[in-house]
Order: sequence, then C-alpha cells, then structure tokens
Amino acid sequence: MQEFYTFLQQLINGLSQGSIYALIAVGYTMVYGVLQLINFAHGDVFMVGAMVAMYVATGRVPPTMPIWMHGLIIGVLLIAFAAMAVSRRSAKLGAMEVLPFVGIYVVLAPSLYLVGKVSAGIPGSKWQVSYLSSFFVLLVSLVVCGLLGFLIERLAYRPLRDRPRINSLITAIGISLLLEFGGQHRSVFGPTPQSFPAEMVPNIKSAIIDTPVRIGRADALIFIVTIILMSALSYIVMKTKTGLALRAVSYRFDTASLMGININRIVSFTFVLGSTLAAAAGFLYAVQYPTVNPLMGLQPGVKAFVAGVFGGIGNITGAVVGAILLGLVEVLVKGYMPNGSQYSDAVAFVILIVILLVKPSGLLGKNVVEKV
Amino acid sequence: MSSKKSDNIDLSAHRPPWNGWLSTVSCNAPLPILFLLVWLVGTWIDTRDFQRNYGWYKNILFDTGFAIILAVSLQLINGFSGQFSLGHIGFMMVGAFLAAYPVKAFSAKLTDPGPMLMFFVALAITVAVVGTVLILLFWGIRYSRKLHPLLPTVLIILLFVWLMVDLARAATYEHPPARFILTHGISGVASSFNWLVEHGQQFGAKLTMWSPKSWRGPLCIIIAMLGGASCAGVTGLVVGMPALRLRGDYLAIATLGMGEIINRVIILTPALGGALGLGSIPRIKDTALGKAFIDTNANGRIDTGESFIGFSEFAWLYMMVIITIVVIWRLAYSAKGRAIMAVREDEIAASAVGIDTTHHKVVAFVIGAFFAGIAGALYAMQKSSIDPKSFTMQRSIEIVVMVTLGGLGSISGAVLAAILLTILPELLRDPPSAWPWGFVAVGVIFIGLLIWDWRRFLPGLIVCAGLLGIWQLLRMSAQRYGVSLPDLRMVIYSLMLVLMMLLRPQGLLGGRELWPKRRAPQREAAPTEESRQLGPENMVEGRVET
Repeated sequence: MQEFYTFLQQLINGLSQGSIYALIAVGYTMVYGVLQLINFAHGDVFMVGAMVAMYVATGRVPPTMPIWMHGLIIGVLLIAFAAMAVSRRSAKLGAMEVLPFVGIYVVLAPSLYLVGKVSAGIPGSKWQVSYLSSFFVLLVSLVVCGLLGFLIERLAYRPLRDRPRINSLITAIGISLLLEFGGQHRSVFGPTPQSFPAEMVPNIKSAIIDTPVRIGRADALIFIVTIILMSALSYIVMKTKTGLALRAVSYRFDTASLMGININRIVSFTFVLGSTLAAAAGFLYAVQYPTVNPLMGLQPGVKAFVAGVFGGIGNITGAVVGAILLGLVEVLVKGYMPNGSQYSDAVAFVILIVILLVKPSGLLGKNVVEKV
Repeated sequence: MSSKKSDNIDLSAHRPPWNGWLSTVSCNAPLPILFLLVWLVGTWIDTRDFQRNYGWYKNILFDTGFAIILAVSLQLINGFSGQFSLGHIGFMMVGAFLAAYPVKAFSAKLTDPGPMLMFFVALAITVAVVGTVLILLFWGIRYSRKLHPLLPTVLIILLFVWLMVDLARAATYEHPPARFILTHGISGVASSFNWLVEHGQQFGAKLTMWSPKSWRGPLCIIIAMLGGASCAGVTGLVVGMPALRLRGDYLAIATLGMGEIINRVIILTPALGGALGLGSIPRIKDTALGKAFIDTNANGRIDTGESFIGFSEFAWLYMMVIITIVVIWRLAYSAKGRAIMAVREDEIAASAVGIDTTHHKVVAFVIGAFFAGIAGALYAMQKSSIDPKSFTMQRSIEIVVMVTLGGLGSISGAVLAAILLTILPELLRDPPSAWPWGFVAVGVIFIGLLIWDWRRFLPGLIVCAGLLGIWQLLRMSAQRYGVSLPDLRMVIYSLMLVLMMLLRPQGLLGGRELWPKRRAPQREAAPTEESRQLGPENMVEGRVET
C-alpha cells in the first residue's frame, strides 16, 4: 500500500510540475499557431513575471535603477527610430511605429515604480499574510508581463513579419538575451538568486491533505490557478468573437485578413494572452520553489516548448496535455529510475526526438500534407 | 544574342573570388604562401613579450578562430543547404571530448601518435560492428513487412517490451547475469572495445617507434583533430539521417534536442569526465613543436628543440580556419554546391530535376559536423580543460546568430559576423576609444576602396563611420555620467543584435560574398549568320550589352 501512496504522491508532484509547464507551453503554442514563430523570449517573460511578483511582494522597486539607465533605454529607442526613418523602411511607416514606445516606456517605468511604492504602503503587503496581497502581486505581474509581451511583439517581431522567419527568430533570441542580461544587471535584479517571500500566501507551507498523500497548499494553489486560467483561456478562444478571429488567423493567416480580421490586433492579443499566462506561471513557480533568479526562465522555457511540440505545436489542448504528460514523466523518472534525477532533464529531449521522428505533428496535431 | 551564349558554358564562372588565387586547394602557390604567413604571424604572436593584457588579446584571437570555423561550417548547413540546425555545438562537443580523451590517456606529452591512432581505429571498428548489427536489425524489421504488413509493428512492440523487461529485471540484480541481453550486450561491447584498445597499444607503440621523432608532435595533433572530427562527422550522420527527414522548424527543434542529448550523454559517460569534464589535457603549446619557436637557448638563439619546425597553436588554429573556409567555399561553389543550394531553394523542384535531396542534405550536414569537430579538438587542446557546461544550447544559438547576421548563404559574411560578434562583447568589457585609430582605419579602408570599387562599399563605410561615432558618443556619455559600461556589456550586445536584425534583416552581406564571383572574360563567339549580315559594329555592341 505504501508503494501505491508513493506512486500517488509522485503523480501529484508531476501534475503540479506539468501545470506550470502547461501555462508556459500555451503561450509558445499560440504564438506558433498564429505566426509559425518559435518565441524564444517566452521563457524570459516567465522569468520577468516571477521577478515583478517578487518586487511587488517585497514592496521593493528595482532599487537603484538610476536615471541614466532610463535615459539609455529611451536613447536607444530614439536611435532605432532615427535609423528606421533614415532607412528605406520609412515609406512603410515602420519608423513611426517605434516612436510611441518611447512614450510607453516613459509611462511604464514610473508606473512600475509607483506600484512598488503603493504595495509597500498598503496593509497586507511586505511579508504580511493576506490573500488580498498575493492576489495583488499576481495581478501586477500579469499586467506587467502582458504589456511586455505586447511590446516585444510590436518592437521585435512586427517589423520583420514579411521577412523569413529566421530573422524573427534572431530578434527573439536577442530579446531573450536582453531580458536575461538586463535582469542580471545589479540595478535591476543582480545575478544572485533571491528567495521569494512565499509566506505572503497564507499558510503556504502547510498541507491540505497530509496523510497518506501530501497535497501542499502550493500545489493546490497551482492547480486552482491553472484550472481557472485554462477555463478562462478556453472561454476566450472558443466562445468570444476575438477567439474566433484568433482561430481563424491561426488557420489561414492571409485569408483571415481578407475576411476583415485585423491581423495586427489579433497577433498582439495572442502575445498579451500568452505572456499573461507565462506571468502566472512565473508567480506560481516562485511560490512553489521560493527563489527567483534572472536565468530561471531557461530550463522551464525549453521544457514547456518541448511540451508544446509533444502535444502538437499550434494546438492549445495538445500543449496542455503534452505539458502535463511531460511533468508526469519527468517526476516518475526522477522517482523510479536509478540515478533518475540525472536523467530527468534528458528525458524531455528524448521524448522530443522520439515524437518528432514518429509523429512530427505531435500527439494531437494534424498532419499537414505538403503540396507543390 | 545572349541566348546563343548558353552553348559554351564557361565553368570558370564558378570559380572562387581570387580568380586563380585559391582556386584549387592543392596546387596553386597562394595557399602555401598564406600558410607561411599564418605561421610567421603565429610564431610572432607567440614569441611576443608578455605585455599587459596580452593573454586577453590572445584569447580573443583564439575565440575568434573557433567562432569562424563554427560559423562557416554552420553556414554550409543553414545557409547553403537551408537545413536549420540549432545543435551545432553538440558536434563541437563530440570533437572536443573524443579528441581530448585519447590525447590525455595515450599521449600525455603529445609524443605518442601511435596509440592514439589505434584508439580511433578501435573506436571505428566497434562503431562499425555495432552499427552493422543495428542496421541489419532495422532493415530486417523494415523488410518483414513483405511477409505481412503488420509484422514490423508487432516486431517493434515485442522488441520494446523485451527491452523494458530486460532492463527492469537486470536493474534488480546487483550483477546482472548473462541472460539479460541488453545489459550484457552493452558491457560486452565495452569490454571488447577495451580489449581492442589494449591490444592496439602494442602495435601503436611500434607505430610511434617507426615515425620520425620530429613528426610525432604534429602527428599527434593531426590524429586528434581528424579523429575527433570524424567522430563528430559520424555523429552528424547518425543524427542527420533520421532528423533531415523533418522540415523547417521541426528540424530546428529536433537538432536542438539532439544537441542537448549529446550533452547529457557525455555528462553521463564516466570515462569522459562526467559533469566535471576533462582537465589537464596536453596543450599544443606544451609540445616540443609548439615550444620550438618560443624557447631561446642560452646563446639567445631560437632553439628548435626536437622539432625541425616551430608551429604555434595560433598557427594550427588559423591554418584550420583557412582550410575550413577554402574547403567549404570550394564545396559550396562547385557542382555539388549548386545541387545543395537547389535543395535549399525548392526541395520538390530539386528532386524533380533529379537531385538526390536526402543525399545532399546529409552531405552538407556531415561536412558541417566534421569541421565543428575540428574546432572542438583544437579547442580542447588549447584550453586544456573542457567542461560540458560550456557547450550549451546558448552557444549553438550564438553560432546561428553569427550565420544569420552575416547573411544566409555567404561565407565571407559568416566570417565577418563571427569576428564581430566575438570581439564586440570583449571590446565592451573595457571600451577603448575609437579616436583616433578607429577613424584612421576607416579612413584608410575608405581610400583603398575609393581606388578599388567605391560604389559597392560606400554605404557600408558610411554606416561603419556612423557606428564608430555612436560608439564614441556612448563611451563619452558613460564617462560623463559615471556609468560602468562593462556591467552593461551584454545588455548593449543584445540590443545591438536586435537593432541590427531590425535594420538589416538580410544580414551583413545578404547572401552575397564580399568578393563576388567574377565572370571570366567571355570568349569571342563565333560570328553567326545574323551578325555577319549585320556587320561588325552591331556585333561589338551586342557584346558590350551582354
């Protein structure tokens, strides 16, 4: 019987792992479905979610973010504007698209600062225990990451949409490096991991069910938040008009625009949605394993991507199924194979290769027949 | 009139840029002269007095060399054959570890080429035997469908179940008995490999005895390089055969996964050092060969030691850089290269014309992997310790960035981008002033190009001068406001990456070479019936036109 309980315990651990992967994988798969682009920066959006959550939870703002750094960022944006205006692209109004983001940045940076100040001031924040404060933390990180996703798409991917996809891939890598190294700068976060104040979620260390199988409150929180967000997502995608447009765009990009769908809006919406879910995943990850560091997005990002491919990339249900299966397999390998913890990282990639060789379209994906 | 010209196709049109120069690997004078130059410069660099920061500069030079080899070899895969590979560093890793292991184990002073050679021979024999068995198994299963269409599926399921049961039961025994074929088979292969290596050593020692003393050092290095590179090439074959069936993004994902798996496999191999990697690998510069020009004897004269020729590690690396560039250039602009490019342009059309697409993709993949393996072997013998953690996915992404930034399908672009992207982060570590020497350099190049071909290069030069100006501005303002740029270097680097991609999506050279393929002067066409009637004036005009 004990063995069975152990097995159940492993399943629960795997489910909570898989739920976090699922929240990230959905963002990957939606972006791939719409743009056929592997959004390498997505794992780092997840990291930013955790980081913002940490700032808000501790009532800390990016502490010594000096004025010249804002100046530098705005300056770079202005240089980009100037360069685009000078280059031939100006005829296509590409340059005019960069300028508003100077404005957005000017708004975003102080508002982040203000949010930190406010959260430090309101009762229930700063290491104090309250559902309200944890909800507030989650909300802020959702909003900030949504904005970030919007910005990334607008600045890095949209100007290159007519170009071969490898170019967007390189800018994605650039953005990902930017977020990682920007986070490692000491005025933003610093290279050392910091512990997340998980205690602000009431009784987070205790368990809901203790014997014979332990379900911690963190696990329960992960399950509940994932289920709520996934139902919200499926409602948005399946029942609303925007969701219909999103499905149409991912079905046939050009035809959808002929049907009167505003492609740019839908793509931005996809990015905002995906980044929001990644932020939620970041928050939950930080609560579950209470540390945050600027490189935390790499491993879960890649795993979530593998999960997306496993389930059939471009397919939201597939991503969720794939992510949960991946989480389960990883935890089971860790638990039951000799020296399993060494292999558990490689398992994701072995699954990846096997699924690509056997059924490249993934578990739930449809085979696309190539025509001349 | 131009249509008549198609009859006598001039193959010299496909020659590399320095028409005549470098046009053949084997015979022409320039290549040996280039090698001589590299050798002289290399020995000069090694014999230079150790100034401040000298080691830093030298490291940058080395990293640039490795980056060039990797970028050019990936250019063949990504740029010319159009197969998007994200796992290139895996091949470098195979080359590094499988070259470092025999060097460390069998010729710790780089004086024993024989045993190393025998190690690779043993490895080749083992791989060949195991590979033959696996291929026979594969074909057996595949052709069993002629007996019954469901037979392959049944066989695969049976094989899988048997393997799982075998593994699970063998794991419960402390010393698994012989009936567990999988575990026994693995240990059997390992022990027979060990037997081969052990018995090869005696013959290897004889080989060493037979080889001239002054050749042993270079032979060691060459055997390690070729051995490691061949292992990487075989890995490329094994990875490429199944993976290249996939297209586009799926191939990218698969190669990414393969790279990670190679990394994990090497980490899990105790003989290759496990997670710590291999240390104290003999360096090229510790050999009699590498030292020859560095050491001076008591009389103050250069002591050539045991070797008849001095050969610094810098020279080794950059000669391999040149060989890589030349070989890949020759391949890419040969008939085979045309076929490879045709596969990139349109796979279906290419196969309709009769090109074996799989064959050409695999050839490009294996050759790319081979050169990555050479870079790996040299890397191991230069750094003296290699660590699996330094061969991560991020590194292969860096190489892809180099290739894309240089322009897909442009070897000189890949070289330029490799140099730029290696030097840029290092420059930002301690940002030097571009005034005056940077501007002087741009000016000199500018005047040179004015004489040569100013129309093509003017925009690029203006951009260069502008970038230098921005650099200087950035540096001055950082000093003015007390900002430490070194802390921000990777941020600036990634911003520059994004901006470069946004502003110039086709890459630095955009699929062209720095030196475009020059057409050989057209031969006088035999006067046709028309031209005879029209008279000589028109014929001249027509020639000028075409």
